[in-house]
Parts: sequence; structure tokens; C-alpha cells
Amino acid sequence: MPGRILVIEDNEQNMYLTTFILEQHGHSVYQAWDGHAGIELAGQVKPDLILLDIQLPVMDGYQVAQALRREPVLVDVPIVAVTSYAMLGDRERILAAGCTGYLEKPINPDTFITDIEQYLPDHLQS
Amino acid sequence: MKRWAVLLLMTVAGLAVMSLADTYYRRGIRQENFQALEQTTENFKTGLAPVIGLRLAAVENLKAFMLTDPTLPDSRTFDRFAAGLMANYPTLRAVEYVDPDQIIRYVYPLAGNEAALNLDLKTRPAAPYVEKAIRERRTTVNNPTATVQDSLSIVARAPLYRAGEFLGLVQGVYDVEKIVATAGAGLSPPYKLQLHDAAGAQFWGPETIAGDTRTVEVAVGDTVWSLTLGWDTPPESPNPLILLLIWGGGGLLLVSLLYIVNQTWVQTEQLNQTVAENMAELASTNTRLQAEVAERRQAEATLRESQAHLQLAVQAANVGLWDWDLLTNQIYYSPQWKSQIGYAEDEIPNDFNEWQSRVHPDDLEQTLAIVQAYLKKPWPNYENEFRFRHKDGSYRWILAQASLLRDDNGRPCRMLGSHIDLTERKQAEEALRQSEQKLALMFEKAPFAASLSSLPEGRIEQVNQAFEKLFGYSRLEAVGKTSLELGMYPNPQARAQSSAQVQKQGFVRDFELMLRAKSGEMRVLLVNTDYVEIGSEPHILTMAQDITERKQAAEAVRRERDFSEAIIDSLPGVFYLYDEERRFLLWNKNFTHVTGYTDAEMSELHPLDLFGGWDKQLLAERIQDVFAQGASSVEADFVAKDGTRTPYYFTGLRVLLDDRVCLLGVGIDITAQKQAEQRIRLSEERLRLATEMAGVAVWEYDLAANQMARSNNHDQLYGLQPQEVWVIDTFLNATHPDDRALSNQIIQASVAPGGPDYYRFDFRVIWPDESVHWLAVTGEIIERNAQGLGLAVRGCLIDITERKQAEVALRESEERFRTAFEYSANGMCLTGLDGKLLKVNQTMCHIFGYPLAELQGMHFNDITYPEDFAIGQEGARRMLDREATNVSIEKRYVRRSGEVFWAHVTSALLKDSAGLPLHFITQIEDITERRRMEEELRVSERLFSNAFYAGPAGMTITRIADGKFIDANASFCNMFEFSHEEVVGHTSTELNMLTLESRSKLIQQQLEAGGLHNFELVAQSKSGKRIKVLFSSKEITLKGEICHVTTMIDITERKQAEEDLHRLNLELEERVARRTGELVQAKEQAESADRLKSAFLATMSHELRTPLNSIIGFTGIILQGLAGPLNAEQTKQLKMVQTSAQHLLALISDVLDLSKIEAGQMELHIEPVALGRVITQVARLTEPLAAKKGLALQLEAASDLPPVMADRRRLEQILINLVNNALKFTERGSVRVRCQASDGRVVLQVIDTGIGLKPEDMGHLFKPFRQLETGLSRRHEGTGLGLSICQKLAALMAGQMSAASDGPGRGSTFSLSLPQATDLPEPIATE
Repeated sequence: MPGRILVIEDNEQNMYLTTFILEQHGHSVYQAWDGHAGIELAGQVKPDLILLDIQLPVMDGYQVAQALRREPVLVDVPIVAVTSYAMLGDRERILAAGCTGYLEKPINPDTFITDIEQYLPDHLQS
Repeated sequence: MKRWAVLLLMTVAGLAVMSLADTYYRRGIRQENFQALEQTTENFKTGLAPVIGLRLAAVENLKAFMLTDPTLPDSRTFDRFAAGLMANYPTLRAVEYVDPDQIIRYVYPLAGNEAALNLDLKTRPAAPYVEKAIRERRTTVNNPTATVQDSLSIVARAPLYRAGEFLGLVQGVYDVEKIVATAGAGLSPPYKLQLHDAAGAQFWGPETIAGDTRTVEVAVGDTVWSLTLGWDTPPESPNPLILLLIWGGGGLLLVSLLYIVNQTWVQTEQLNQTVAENMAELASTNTRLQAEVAERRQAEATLRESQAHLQLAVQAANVGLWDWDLLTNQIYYSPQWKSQIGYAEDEIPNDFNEWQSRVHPDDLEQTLAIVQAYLKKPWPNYENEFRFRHKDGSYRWILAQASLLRDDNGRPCRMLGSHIDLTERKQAEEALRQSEQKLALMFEKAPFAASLSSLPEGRIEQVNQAFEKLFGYSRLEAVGKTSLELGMYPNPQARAQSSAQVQKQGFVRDFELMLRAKSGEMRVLLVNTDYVEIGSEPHILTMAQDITERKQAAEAVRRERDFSEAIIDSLPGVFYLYDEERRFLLWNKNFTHVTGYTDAEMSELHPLDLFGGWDKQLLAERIQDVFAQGASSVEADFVAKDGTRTPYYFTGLRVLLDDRVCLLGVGIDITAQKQAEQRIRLSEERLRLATEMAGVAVWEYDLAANQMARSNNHDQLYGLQPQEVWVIDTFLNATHPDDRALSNQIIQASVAPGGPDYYRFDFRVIWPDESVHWLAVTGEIIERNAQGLGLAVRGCLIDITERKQAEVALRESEERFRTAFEYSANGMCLTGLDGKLLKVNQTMCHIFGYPLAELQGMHFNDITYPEDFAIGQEGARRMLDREATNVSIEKRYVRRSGEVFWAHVTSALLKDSAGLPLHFITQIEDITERRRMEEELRVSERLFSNAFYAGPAGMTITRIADGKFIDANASFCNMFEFSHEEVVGHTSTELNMLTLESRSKLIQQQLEAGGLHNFELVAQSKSGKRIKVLFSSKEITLKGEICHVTTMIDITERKQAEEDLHRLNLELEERVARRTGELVQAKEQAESADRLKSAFLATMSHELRTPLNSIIGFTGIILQGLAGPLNAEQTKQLKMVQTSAQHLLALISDVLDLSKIEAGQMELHIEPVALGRVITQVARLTEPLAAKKGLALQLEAASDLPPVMADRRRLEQILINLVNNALKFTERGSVRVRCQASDGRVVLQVIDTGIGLKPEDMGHLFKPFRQLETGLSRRHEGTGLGLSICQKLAALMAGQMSAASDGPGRGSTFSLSLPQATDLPEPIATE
């Protein structure tokens, strides 16, 4: 089942790539170009999954994840951090900030969709 | 003409300068404006791009929203979403949904946009954009166009596709005005903005802009706009005030300049005229002046020279000058004046009192009197002699000469004078005076009478005490008179004779002369007279020795003889004396007269020849009797030569004469007996009188009767009144007790039987007045009894007191001289003119080391040091040549031992009575010791002097009495920066070296301890520098004054060094502290650098991976065919891109890993890891490659393999790397992974059958970027970092990696050994 996925990403190419892959696999993609827009949009659309870039202007991914988790309606929405942060401890920090999962950039186009879809709520899993 | 040309040129140049300034000013303004424009444009662009770009995202969101709903949302849902969207995007005028038939179905907000609802876009100008969006299935943006809402807008359209089915579009209408306003917010109003679309059509802003413009391109969605910014009037325009300043001020300056130049020009021309006129005059004046100057220089030079000469002369003559201003009482002393008394120029104030205070107190009164007298009534040559105190306290004899200057009124105003140091002359005079005094004393005290008379009159100038005593004239009586006038010459001829001789030969020797004393007494003198010149005046020096006594004695004898002869002659009879051989020895004249024989015949005559007949026999018997019995008498006829017979009574007496027994006979003509008896009586009376007159007493003593008949004067000789009786005791009582025994003995011996008939002795008597008188007595035993015992004695007595006294005096004088000679502390000798030592004293023997007998008889040269022969000889010569009466020299002698020594020698020439040189008397003083001591003193002085003056330590001598420096050495002066002159004569406080307080403290300490040793002290130098010294002092006595010798060693530097050291220590400590702080800081910095590095690595990682994400992602998508079908070639090329991108990604990961490891940031989670699972995982990941290459991947792991301590992920990374490597480098065969446990470790081995390793490559294996076979081919992909990272990771896990190979082509084995875990790993739930 196609899901509604919110992508919070400031890089145009990556936004396009993610959106393209997800749309190709039938998912609806909501785009937010920064943290504030992402939080607001998430509140509006209540997406099934949020893909969150960590390296964001003004408000970084950790803050965004924490803010999202504070919204009662968003508490159960899985958040997958997609980041090029590959330093030791990043993974822990990301999970600690409230993220459900973690994907390393660059994404592997061959496995990306399967990796993502496993985070979708069970009723959307194919 | 020239002037006007210049002025014109200046005007032109001035205008040009102003114009140039104007241009530059304006250009600057324009430049400034343009830069502002450029900046503003850039800002605007930066503002615009995101405004447009991001806002377009609203459409994308809308699209996502629309597609979320499987059936597309209804109008109300659309409106609700759109409302939220528009709140976020204020530039959005409206969002619309266009159905697949391109009819606008939903519009939000509807208000104001009603015209848009149900609008068919196919009919609108936007139709091509709509078509494009549908066709290209992507969001498009159209060029700004006027919309139905009648506003300039841009519209972004996103086509809605779901599974290839076109569901319509969503579009966002953006108000261009709002976009521009948002982007341009904050731009200053004067700017004008033009916007052109991609086609170049202007859709915004005024048509033209008057001023400068700037154009840039801005990306807007899928299109590009061109943006032009500019202004009509530049914001910055030239400041009119500055322009006024440039033109107005410049003009004013120019006009002023022109005026000044013009004026100056005119004045210069006038001046030139004047200058030319003055130049000639100046030239001539100059020439004249130069000549004058040359002349004056010449004169000055001459003056200087003469002054210099004068100065030198004054210096050379050691003349001190003074100048006394009588009106002000000020006085100037020349440096020479001061140096005469030992002072430096600045040590003595120019003060009259200074002079006065220096005059010897004994001389002061007289000296001042002379000065006052001179000032009262000057005389031509003022001279004043006085003693003047030298700096060293001694007095110098100064001769002051002066002249008086008078002012115009004739009053004395100045006294100019000089000081000449007469001390040496005075000393010489004094020496001379003393020597004169000595001579005078010698003259005065000489034992012989001496007189000095001037020639030609022979007036007496000087006489000595002996003269006074001898002649009875006092000095006053004698001086000024001639000896003639004094009546000293009873026989003036004698004087004439002697003075003639003196004048003829220069001297008279041993001239016997009789002179009359004042008392009239005649004196017999032995006179030596010398012609001498005193002060070129001719004089006679006369020395007279009184030989009166001697003469008198001789005279007395003669007179006695004469008297006796006279008596004998006057006897009426005959008187004769013959010896036992009957040879006549004596006879009287009467004898020859009576006998008629001549004296010559008498000596041949036998006594019996004078008798004849009977008488011969009788006489022979009687003569025999006389010789036998002593006396006899006979009457016989005396037969004369002519045969005449005369009856005579002969008496014979045996007498002893010159030890011969003689017969003394007297014959009396008894023919005229009565007459004869009468005559005898008369004669006796005369004899008595004569003897009494001659002071001779006669006596006859009858021993038996103890009675003595004596002449009248006899008793007087005893100082007694005539005595009634005179017995032997009377004699003995009067006799001096010392002489009694001897006198009595002589008498008794004579009286005793067999004793001599004659005796004679001198004896002393004591007169009743207790005066002692010498008497001489002769006695004759005139009658003896049968036993020979004397019965009667007779004799004479004479007073010999005066003679005795003379004798005693002589003996005493001789004794004194002998004693002086013999016992003198100096060596004395009497030397012959030939240089032979005639007589030497004991001291001399002692000095020379010879026994007396040996030394006497040696030659002077035998004991003289050969080199000094000449000195002695010269001295002798001078005395012999009368150049000197005595000489005093220092010369060397040689002792018997050969030792040479120095002696002070004084010699005088002794002359005989005739004034002929006789001997030298020489006194020799051994001054070796003195010399040695002098030399020692000199050496010690020199040593001290060297040590003192040249010593490196500062040394001074300070007088304790006044604390003044007497002397100081160079080191001291250098140390304290004073000159020697500045130091000497001052105290340390005067020189500000020490404070009064510290000085008195120092002095007290010195006095308490009698000196100080290494006392630390801070003193101040002349320039105020503080010097720390080590001060030592010692008390010495110098020229009778108590002084301190002080030594000062500058320890400022040492102290400084100590303090420096101390400070250095402190500094070091401080530095250590600081350094520690710095280290802490550095550590913090390093830590912060580490954090920085972490941040950098994180950023790097992000920034590098982000673009790779697109590359790898899109490549993958395209290759998956998601973006449409690809042909074979495209697929192949895209795969190459993919491979490269993946390689790049691997490289980045490896570099990051390596960086992290090297930065120590690779943190591992080391925990017990079970190997089975790890190996399975590794196998799973590497199996595809093995399969692809057709290689067998074998796993060999024991089931009971213990877990290892490791980071699981990193362990997997290492193993994957090793296995991949092995697969990579192996074309055939297998790759085995083997695990073994041993000794607490587990070894994992990856064994391949691949290309193997060359021994030389073994060392490089684990180094970064070392891929073997590099350059041969790119067959084996890899970063070249793998092994290096593996090794480092292994090390972090306390593991070891190694490689082995049997050689190229024989495969290789890579081993990893890890520590075994003691505990079993906990099950990992998350995995």
C-alpha cells in the first residue's frame, strides 16, 4: 500500500531523488525544505513516515526529531533519519533524538525502497 | 616678457590641476556608486533566488497532497490544505486545481480570484506551459504574465500522475510584486529594478534607467530571469562644497601665487641689483678681513707660543705665581703655586687666609710684618722668605718676590708675585751651616790656640777658647786687633819673619815663637800658620801650641846646669870629677886656670899628674879611700903645668853619675883660707837666694837626729808656713796618701844599707787649702854609718805641678782620642798617603773580617771593590789638592770572605806640623744593612705600589683622622668613575659614595674590629650607579699617621648574577607554572582542535557523501530503468559511473576511517564476540564475488572456538576486507578462512591461492595507498587503504596482523590474531 511520506530535506537533488524513488514506488511524497516547514506539514498531513535529513539549516535534524516527537499526533509516526553523518555515536544520538531508524547516505538505490518500506506501519506493508 | 610667460604658464597649470582634481573627485564618487550598485544587485539576487525557488515548493507539496488521496480530494479538503499552504507562502496569490481537461476546478482563495474558476487554460496564453508540464511530467514555471486576476504573476504548474494516469494539475499563482518586494526588502528606494523573462521580455520595472545599471541572471524554477538594477540619480553625488573648495580655493590659491610670484620677481630683480653692488664691496672687505684674520692668527700663534714658553719656563723654574687684589682681598694662586706645596689645582681655595695659614707659625709674624711694611712703603725688590706648609705636613722654604701695582690714583691695588721653593737651597745652606758649625766647634774647642787673621794687616777675626785661655785675651779684646797691637810680640821681627814665610810658601810649620800673654807672661809656642782664602779674602790661620812648660823645663835644666856650673866656676877652689879610671870628666874653669892646662889637655891628664913628690902617694891612697869609702880629704900641693905649687885642701867624694862611680873632688887654695871661707859664705848665701828664687828648695836631713835643715822656701812648697821643726812625719803627713807609701819606700830603700845614694821621685802634697801640688824631690845620702845605713841626706825639692797637669791633660786627651779611635762604632783607620793601612781599629777589623795584625799593613785597594777604586782615589786627590778638607762618599768594599758591601766613608787628611800631608784618617760605616733595608723597603714599596696601583681590586688609603683618601688606585677610580685627583683629599661622603650614616657605621665596625674582611657594602659611583662591593680594610701606620688600607671588589655583577639566578629560578618556576598553564590550555586547545577535527570530519563526510548520494542514487535509478528504457551502451557507461562513484565512496569511507583512527577518534566497542556468527556474516557478504569469479570460499572454524575480545563491526570489516582482497587477487583455486585458538589468542587466517607476494613488498603491505602491482593494471579495484586500516583496527583491538607468502604466484596468507575473551558473549538481542 502506498504510504504518505514526508521528506524533510534541504538539498534539491536529494529531495528530487528521494521523491522520485518513493513516487516511483507509489508513495505520496510531501516535501519540506526546512525543519519548521517539516514540523508544520507533518502536523497537517500526519504522514505515515517521515524521512529526516539531519544536516538542515537553522534547525538540525535532532531538534526536528525532538520537536516532532513532542507533537501528540505525531508520537507514533516512524521517523527515519537519512544522513551522511557516519561518525561513531551519530547513530546513537539519532536514535536518542527520537528517530525510529537510520539510513546512511548515499542511499543505495537498489535497496533504498525496501529499507524504507520496512518502517511503514504494518497495514501499509506489502 | 619672461615674467609674463611664467605667470601665464602658471595660470594654465593651475587650471589643469583644478580640473584634474575635479575629475578625480567625480570618478571616485562614481566608482563608489557602482560598487554599491554591484553589491546591492548581488544582495537582491541572493534574496530573490530562495524566495522564488522555495516558494515553488508549495506546488510540489500541493501535488503530494493531491496524490495522497486515491480519488483526489474534494474542494473543501483542497481549500483546507491550501489555506495552510498559503499561510506558509505569503507570495502565493492563489493555488488552483486544474482538471485533466485543463479547466480550473478549484481555486483557493476564491475571493479576488473568481475570474479564474472554471477558466479553460487551453484558451489562455499559458496553454503552451500547461502542455509542457503535462508532456514533460514535471513542474514548470511560466514567464510572468498578466493573469485573469489582472495582476502580474508567475504560475508554477505540477502535473498530477498516478501510475501513468494523468489526473490533472495543481498550480500556484505567485504575485511578482510580492516576490520582488520580499526579495528586495531592505533595498534603498533610489534603486530601480527591471526584470526580464527567459525570452528577454521585460515584465517588471521602468522601461529605462538613466544611470549605471547592473544585470544578473536568476534561476526561477526551470527558467531563468534576468535582473537589472540601477538608478536615475546616483545615490552619491559630488559634494558642491568640495567642488567649491576645488575650484574656489584652487582659484584663490592660484591668484595669490601669481601675485606673490610677480611681487617676488620684481623684488628679486631689485635685490639682484643691490646684491651686485654690494658684492664688490663685500669682496674687498672680505679680502681685507682675511688679511687681518691671518695677521691676527699669526699674532695669536706667536702669543700662544710665547705664553707656552713662559708657561714652560715658569713650570721648569718651579715658580708659583700669585696675584693679590688688595682692594677685594681676593687672591689667585697659579697651579704651580699649589703644586709646589703638593696640591692639585682644585684642592686649595684662592684665599689669602690659605696662604697665611700655611706660613710657619715661627715665621708668620715676621713675614706679615714684611708684607705690611711693603704695602705701607714699597721698595723695589720685595722679597720675603718663610717656611710654608706642604700638603704632606712638611715645611718648604719659600722665597716670595713681588711687585706692587697701583691704580690710577696711585694707590696700591694689586700685588703680583711669585713663590720659589728654596727648600733645597735652604737645606743645602743648613747643611753647610751645620758643617760650618762643626768646623767652628772644632776650631772653637781645639786644644791648641787658633786664630784667623785677615791680610794684609793681620787683623784678628776669630780666636778660639784655647787662644783666650793661653793669651788671656777675651775674644772681644782680641778680635779686630793685630797681634802687634795687642803687644803679643816681644820681638816684632819674629812676626815679620813668620808672615814673610807664610806669604812666600803659604804656610809655616812648627815655628817656635815666644809671645806675650795679656798678663805679660811669656809663652813659648810652636806655631803652624797657613795661608787661607775665606770668601776670596786672604787670611792667615794660625795654630799655636803652648810649649812653654816644655821650654821651661828644658830651660830649668839648662839653668840648673848653668847655675851649677856657675857655682862650680865661682868656687875659689878647683872642682873636678873623674871616674875610676881616673879620667877627668868634669872640671871647672878655675881648675884649668890654676893648673894652666887647657880643657883639651885635661881629658888626657891623670889626677896624679897634678901632684908631685910625696903628695902623689898620699893622694893615690886617699883617692883609693874615696872610691872605697866614699869620701876622703887631703892636703896637698897642687902642681900647675908650669910647675907652680899651691897648697890645696882637697875633699873627695864618691858619687854615682850615670851609673858610674866617680870621684868628685874639690880643692881649696888654703893659702887664702880666711878669704876663701868668707867667700864661701857669700857664695852660700847667693846659692840660697838663687835656689829660692828658682822655686827650688834645698834641704839636708840628719836621720839620726831626725832634724832637717832646709832653705827658707822649703816649707812653702808644702803650702806651709815656715815650721819650727821638720821631721819625716811632717813630710809624710803633707804627702798625698796615695804617694806616701811609695815615697817612704824610695827613701827607706835609699837609706838602707846598700841602697842607692841618690833617689828621685815625684809626689803629690796636699796643701792645707786641700789643693794638690806635684813636687819633685832629689835626695842624696851624704853620710852612712859603717853598716851603710844612711845617716844624712840632702836634696832639692821643686814644684812640678804645672808640668804634671800638662802631662795629665795630654795623656787624658791622648787617651780620649785613643779610646774614640779604638772603640768607635765605625771602622776607623789611619792610612798612609800611599794607601797603606797604618792603624786600624777593632770595628774596622770586624767589618772586614781580618785580624788586626793582618789588616794593618794591607793596602786600601786590597779591601776596596775594584770598580770603586776611582771613587776613593778621587776623594784622596781632592783632599791632597786641597779641594776639600774631608770627603764623604759611599762606595763598596770587599770583606775577607769576598763579600762586597756598601759603606759610607768619611775621610780627612791629616797634615804634619809643617802642613804637609801625613795621613788620611778614614771612618768607614757599613751601610750594607741600611742599603739592604732600603732596597727591601724599595722592593716592598714597589711591590706594594704595584699591588696597590695595578691591582684589580679597588684600593684606597684613608687617613683615619679626617677620613680623607690619601691615595687610590686606578681600579678604585674606574669602579667609582672618579679621577685620581677627585678622590685624593676627599672623604667618601664628600664624594657621595657613602651616606654619612653608612660611613660612620662602617668606620665604627672597622674600629671595633681593627679592620674588616669581606664586608658587603653598597656604595655609589660618581654617576650615581649603585655598586655592591666586598669591603676589606686594615689599619696601617703611614708616615706616622694611622690609616686604613681598604680593598673593594665590585660584586655588583656577582650579586647581580646571584640575583639574576634567583630571579631566573623564580622566572623558571613561574615559567613552569605558565608552561603548565599553557600546556593545560594547549591540551584544551588540542581537545578543542580535536573537537574541531571531529566536526570537520563529520562535515567532510556529509559534504562528500551528499553529492555522491545523487550520483549513486540516480545512476541506480536509471540503471533500474525507472526513468525510462536504456540502450546497451548507455547501461554500460552508466555502470562505469556507478563503479567509479562506489569506488569514490569507498575511498571516502576509508580515508575517514583512517583519519579517525589516526586522530584517535575511532572508538570501538570491544566486547566478547562469538566468531561463528561473524564468519557467517562475512561469508554471506563475500559469497557473491566468489561465485562470480568461480572460486571456492571455504570456512574452517572449530565449533568450540572461544569468543574474542573485539568490536564486532570492525572485526567484520577486517575479515571482509581480507576475504575480498583474497578473492580479488585470486583467479583460480580457493580462498579459505581458518580459525584456530592457541595460547589465549584466536588466529583468523585468510589463505588464498592467488598471485602471492614478493619478499620486497612484504614491508609495504600495511602502508596506506600501497596497492601492489600499481601501474601494471587497474585489474584490482581498491583504495589501497584497506590493509592499512585493517592493521590499525586490529591494533586497536589488541590484535596483530601479519602476512606470509611462498612467493609470487604461490598464494598468500593473511593472519589476524585476537585476544581470547574469558567470558561468553551475551546474546545480542538487537541483531
